[in-house]
Amino acid sequence: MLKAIFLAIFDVDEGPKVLHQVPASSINTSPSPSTSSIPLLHFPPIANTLIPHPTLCNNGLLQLAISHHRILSYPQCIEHPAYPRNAYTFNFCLVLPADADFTSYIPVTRKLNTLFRTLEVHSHFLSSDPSPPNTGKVYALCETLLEDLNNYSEAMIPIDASNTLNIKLFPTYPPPPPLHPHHVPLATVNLPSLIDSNWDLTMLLILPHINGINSVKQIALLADADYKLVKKSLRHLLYYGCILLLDIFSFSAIYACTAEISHLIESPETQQECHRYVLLPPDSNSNSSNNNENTKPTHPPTPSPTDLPTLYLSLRQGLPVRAWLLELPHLATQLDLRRFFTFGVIKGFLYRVHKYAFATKKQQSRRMKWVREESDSGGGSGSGTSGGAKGKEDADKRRGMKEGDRELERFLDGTHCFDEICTELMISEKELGQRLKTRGDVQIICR
Amino acid sequence: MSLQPLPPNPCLIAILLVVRTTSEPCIVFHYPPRPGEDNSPFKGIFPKDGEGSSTSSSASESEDSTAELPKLDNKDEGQKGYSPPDAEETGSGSPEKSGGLSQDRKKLQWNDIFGLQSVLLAKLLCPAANCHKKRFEVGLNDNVFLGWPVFARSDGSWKKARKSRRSSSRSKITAEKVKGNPKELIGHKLGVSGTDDDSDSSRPMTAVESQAEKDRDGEVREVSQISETSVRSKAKPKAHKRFGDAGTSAPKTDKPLVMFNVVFVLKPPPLEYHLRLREMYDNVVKKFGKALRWEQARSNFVARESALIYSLTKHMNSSRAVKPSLSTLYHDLVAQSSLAKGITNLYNSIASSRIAHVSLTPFSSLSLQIPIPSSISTLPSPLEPQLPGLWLTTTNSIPPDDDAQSPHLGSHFTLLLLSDVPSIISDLDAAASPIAKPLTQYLRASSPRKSFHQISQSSGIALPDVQFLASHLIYWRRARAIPPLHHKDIYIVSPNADMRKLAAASSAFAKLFPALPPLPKILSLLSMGSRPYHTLIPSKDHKPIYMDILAWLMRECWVTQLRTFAWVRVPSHIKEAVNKASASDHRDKSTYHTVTDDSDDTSTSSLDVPDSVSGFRLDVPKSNPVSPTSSTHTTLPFNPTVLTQSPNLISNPRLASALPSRHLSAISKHILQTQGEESQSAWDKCVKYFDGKHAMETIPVREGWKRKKVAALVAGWEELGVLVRARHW
Repeated sequence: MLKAIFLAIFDVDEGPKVLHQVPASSINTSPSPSTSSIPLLHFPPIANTLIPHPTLCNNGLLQLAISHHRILSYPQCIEHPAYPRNAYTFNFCLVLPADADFTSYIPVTRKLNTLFRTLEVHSHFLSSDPSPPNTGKVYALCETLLEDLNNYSEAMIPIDASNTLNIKLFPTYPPPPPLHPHHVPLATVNLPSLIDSNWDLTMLLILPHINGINSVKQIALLADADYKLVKKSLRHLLYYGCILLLDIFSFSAIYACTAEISHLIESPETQQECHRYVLLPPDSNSNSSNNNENTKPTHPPTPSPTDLPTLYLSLRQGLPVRAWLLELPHLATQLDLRRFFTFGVIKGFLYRVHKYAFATKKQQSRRMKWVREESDSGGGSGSGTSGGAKGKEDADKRRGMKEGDRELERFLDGTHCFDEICTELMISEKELGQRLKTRGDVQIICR
Repeated sequence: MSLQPLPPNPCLIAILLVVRTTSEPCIVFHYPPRPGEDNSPFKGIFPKDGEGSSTSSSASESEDSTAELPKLDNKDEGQKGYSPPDAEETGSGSPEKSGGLSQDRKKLQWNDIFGLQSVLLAKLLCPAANCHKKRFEVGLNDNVFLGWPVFARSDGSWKKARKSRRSSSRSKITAEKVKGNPKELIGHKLGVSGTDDDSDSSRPMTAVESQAEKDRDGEVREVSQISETSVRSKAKPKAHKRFGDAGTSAPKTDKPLVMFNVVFVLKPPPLEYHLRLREMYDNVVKKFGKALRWEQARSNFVARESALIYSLTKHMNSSRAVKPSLSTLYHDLVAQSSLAKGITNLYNSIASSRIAHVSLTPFSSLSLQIPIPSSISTLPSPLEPQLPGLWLTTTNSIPPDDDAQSPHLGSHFTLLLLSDVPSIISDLDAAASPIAKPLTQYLRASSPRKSFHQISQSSGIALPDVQFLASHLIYWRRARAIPPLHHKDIYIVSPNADMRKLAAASSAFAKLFPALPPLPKILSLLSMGSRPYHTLIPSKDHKPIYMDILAWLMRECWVTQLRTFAWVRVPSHIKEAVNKASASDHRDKSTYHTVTDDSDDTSTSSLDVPDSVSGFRLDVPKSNPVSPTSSTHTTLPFNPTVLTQSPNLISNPRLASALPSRHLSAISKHILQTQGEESQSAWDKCVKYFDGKHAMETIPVREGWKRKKVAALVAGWEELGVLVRARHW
């Protein structure tokens, strides 16, 4: 929230002074600091900072935090023989609370000052303005700017026939986190309702596939779009907080509680929210939902909101969803399991235990063995039991495996989780497990 | 979600010492030598400066230094019409000046930083007197200058130190055997140097020094006033020049110090601006400023040291003297001035997120650090900044209810040393700490498997002393407070472990623990599921080494303890019984009232719990978990009778309100009936721990029971359905 805008200039006779200020009397310009608390700032002590030496002018942002206020400024000095003392120095300053986020006002300050610099250079807009302090068009402009920015976060102010000041405040967000192919985006807003004609084509292609189930790579495949472009689009959505990142849900995944679980236990609202989110519509008429082909209406009563914490608490490290479900078989008909887990992950009281593979020995010897075996089988041509065609198929398969293995090798340094490996190699977790088993010397670490 | 700590990032790019005498402000010292260009320490990295060749063209260079005031983006403009005419003359006439290279090189006056002349920067960094002992913050583009300026008081408490300062500064210099020519130093001080007079054009610094020497304070002030206005108008080249000169000559050794300001230059990421500045200001800037102020008031330290530094750097501004390289200069400075050494130390340590040990005088030293998070309680989501390799635990966030000391130093905790005992002891000996002896004694007795209480008993050191020594070690980042390691506790691979370090860590592990399974194997075993640690230990003989492994794994944050937390669960039959009892006790009407009471206002039930905490939301333990508002939103119609009978959890048994406490007593009775008196009394003792905040692992220690007994009791209660357990860190 802007507190004030003022224009400080270097007056040939008086030195640095405040020419215009909005709101009026927000800056105390008298030499003695006032006792009343109405003015935001006392100008004389900071005059030399805001109207600095010419070297510091035209040199970018100059900001100053003083007495709970922050002044953003962009001092300008135009040197020309036409001016008295051959230079004209001015500085439009924005005043904000000292602890406010000011990053979005930096471009405003820059634009305001550089625009007036241009105007001044071309038409002596400021120096020839005869209006006394706190009147005239520059003052009016500051006034409008302050009001518009505070009320609408943007301003469009015509200055003269050919110049208009267009300003909008843009919030600064942190850079989006890195996006991996195995991340599953879930929209937090109704994305289709936001579409307009300017939207990127890739974005339009991928939108229907963002459903909290498909991974980034799957989205790229389903939308038939270039992966890099898909990633870029999703990072845009991520930047604006329109999507969350989840993990790939599967029945072999392991979930466990985090310390946040106490929040669920102590908050009935969260339990209610969870209940609404995860419960399947009460039996029979629920053709639309995913998991109820084998609905049995005679099962134990559907879990109440207060039962849900107990269900979450029964998850633990080392227990895959599949095994967990064996203990509570009726749940599959009552809960949308995917939602059950994603709710926990979104709320942070559940985390996915990822599996990592770490090769304790380098593949080298292993690969040699592969090669040797392959040449052996090639030399033996079929080894009796199967026909020649079968043998060839085997060899092909083995060659394919070998290729895959080489690719697999780079994921075995302990930094790539199973989801990632499976997504990258486009194999199932089961197949990955088999490959790792055949390879040997791999430790699987659950983290 | 809770606020996640961010990875340490001091964003520090330089420290400047700005002092102001009665004349002009001046940057006496800055570190590193080339801030913004090179963040590494100075040792031998600056051959590129071209310092060696500067002697050959020094005359023209120093002329340029006066001429080149407007030298940034409007440089050409300045050259055209606004630079001092005399400078332009010499500039065009000087053959050596033709190349742009020499100009550029010249700009790199040793004390010009960020492409700005130090004079100008010093003016910017010298605030008005109303900033005394206030936060000073000025930003130039991305760089923020953060300081805590200190001014001499108007009654001049420093003035009395003025007399003594002269003698002391000189005696100090002689005492410390200044490498530079002491004659020149003294000559300069007295203003009798013959070379000053003839060097008016070629040696701007000394020229005005001599002039300023001749002028007494009042006149100098006038000069500076003229120069200020002239600078702004840029119309008076002569004054312009004088301005530059007057500025550089500022730290007159015979003028009293009026202000000093140690300015920390930061370059924070825009989004972390306030956080990083606050960290730096609160932990470093203000504390260092206060220490300096104290030393200044006590022994005129800052004035003395800045005079010394100035005398050592003076020759860098002169054209005649052979200029040593920056690294030599800084080497000398650090060797001779304790303030320069202190600032150098401070920068090197703080910029790399370490603890800075700064000793200003033999009598005073201080240690400064920006605290770094030692643990996090919540696992960062993929959207949040990641802090891999940080200990994931909630042990540090437990409210200290029965341990009066700070939470993690309760007597049931212990210390996990982050480096081995011999290295800590050798550091102790080196530092000559006054508590070295007890610390050594403590370190020898310390074990991550014994609690403070046990260590105190076995070693004979009093428990408060143990805790004090422990907190000392924690502060110095030598140790971490953890619950004692136990082979029956469950440890899992920390979800926050830094997997990128696995390869390096496993080779380090193999060196430390040869002939044992490699690290990945251990981690793989630990990730099989939540099993007690002793299932890993192959035999009794292996136990000590496996406990060492565990300590190592904890220290490197590969594992975290999975602790058990419990809540009281109210089963349906208990609820039913309580409902029936209350129904028979009260009239029908009052039952109705109870229900509404509970659903509307359970947290501050006024019936029989006077000490219920008003701020705490105790919404769970109520008979009807559906509050009226939320029931309108639910899609499913609930049968109230079913609801009152569906089991729920009591979140805080200690402060349970009316109905939950009736439930608790009913449960207690139920235990008595089913499991006997012993179990009931144990339940009554333990029920206060079943709030989801106290780890069950601490019950045996707190109550002095055997682990087995607790395990059996808990299993029994769980079977009854009155207890729900969760495992997390």
